[in-house]
Amino acid sequence: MNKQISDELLDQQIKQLTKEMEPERDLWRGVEKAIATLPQQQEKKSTVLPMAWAASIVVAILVSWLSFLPEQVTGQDSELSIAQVMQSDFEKQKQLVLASFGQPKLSELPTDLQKQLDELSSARAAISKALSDDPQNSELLNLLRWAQKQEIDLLKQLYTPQWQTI
Amino acid sequence: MDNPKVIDATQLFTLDQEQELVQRAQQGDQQAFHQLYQNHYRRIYALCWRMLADKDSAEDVCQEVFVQLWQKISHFRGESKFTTWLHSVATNIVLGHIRKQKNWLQRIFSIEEQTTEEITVELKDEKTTSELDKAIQRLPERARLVFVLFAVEGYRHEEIAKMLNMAVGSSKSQYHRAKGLLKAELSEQVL
Repeated sequence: MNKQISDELLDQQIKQLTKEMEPERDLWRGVEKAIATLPQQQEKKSTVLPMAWAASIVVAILVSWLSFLPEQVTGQDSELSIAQVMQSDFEKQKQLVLASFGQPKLSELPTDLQKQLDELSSARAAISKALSDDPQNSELLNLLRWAQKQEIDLLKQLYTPQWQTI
Repeated sequence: MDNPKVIDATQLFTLDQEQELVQRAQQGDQQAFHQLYQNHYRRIYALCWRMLADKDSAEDVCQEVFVQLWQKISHFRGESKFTTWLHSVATNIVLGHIRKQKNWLQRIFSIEEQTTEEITVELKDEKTTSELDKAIQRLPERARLVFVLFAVEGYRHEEIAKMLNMAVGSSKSQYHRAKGLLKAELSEQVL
């Protein structure tokens, strides 16, 4: 007859599992050989914070700029459509990037990272709003392109598998 | 088998000394890195062996862990214990290795559905391997990974779910499945 072992007995055996094991071959020799030729990486300074700063600066510049901007004639559909096309391309690219990382939920990011993404997104929204008033402004279009690129780069940086730093 | 000198050295090894070794290794001191290796390779090898269920792969991946550790030790900022960080790094490398090993066919037909009978594990170290370890090696891959990470390495199901890209509930159910299979396997042996 098969006598089932209890949970307690199994837990006890788990606790008794040896924490250390000795490999059969000397692994250090291979490690030593490899590290003799491999350079050590220097810790990358996070580019997330500077990007958030940059986004904040863009927003600040835009706010001041818009305050002094003379009234523009609206209804220039052709230039406005450039911004719309850029925005549409950006959304597609963003979806592609997210899909390539398995559609992660942005809402599950740590609060500070979410905040930084929100700041970039706000900067983008502010530029788009400014473009709706001044659709021919090439500097604004460049700014929009820049803000979109920062957002894509940040997403790639957040989700590209890398060494976990605790 | 146990070397008393090694055990004494391990016991005397303080966190301060370890911190100093880490700092020296971060500055490129290979001797300090060798000492870190000496202090940790047995535990890292045990982790690799249990997760991979294969001695040769475990040895290769264990080496890979320390090679990558040398390259990226500057990423350790001392915000946690070095051991905790190292185990996290090692776990990620083992999981990366498993993902790389799976070919497209295995990705389509998940080996998760394999039963313990279908898995034949070569246990070369029969005499020194505990019955529980032998049973763990025979678990289906996902159940084994969850079991080792939860019961042996002490990760939480939330952490395991992220690592293995599964729902927290799946991690819990894989753990219970593993326990059930282990109990059945070990029960057969006490007949």
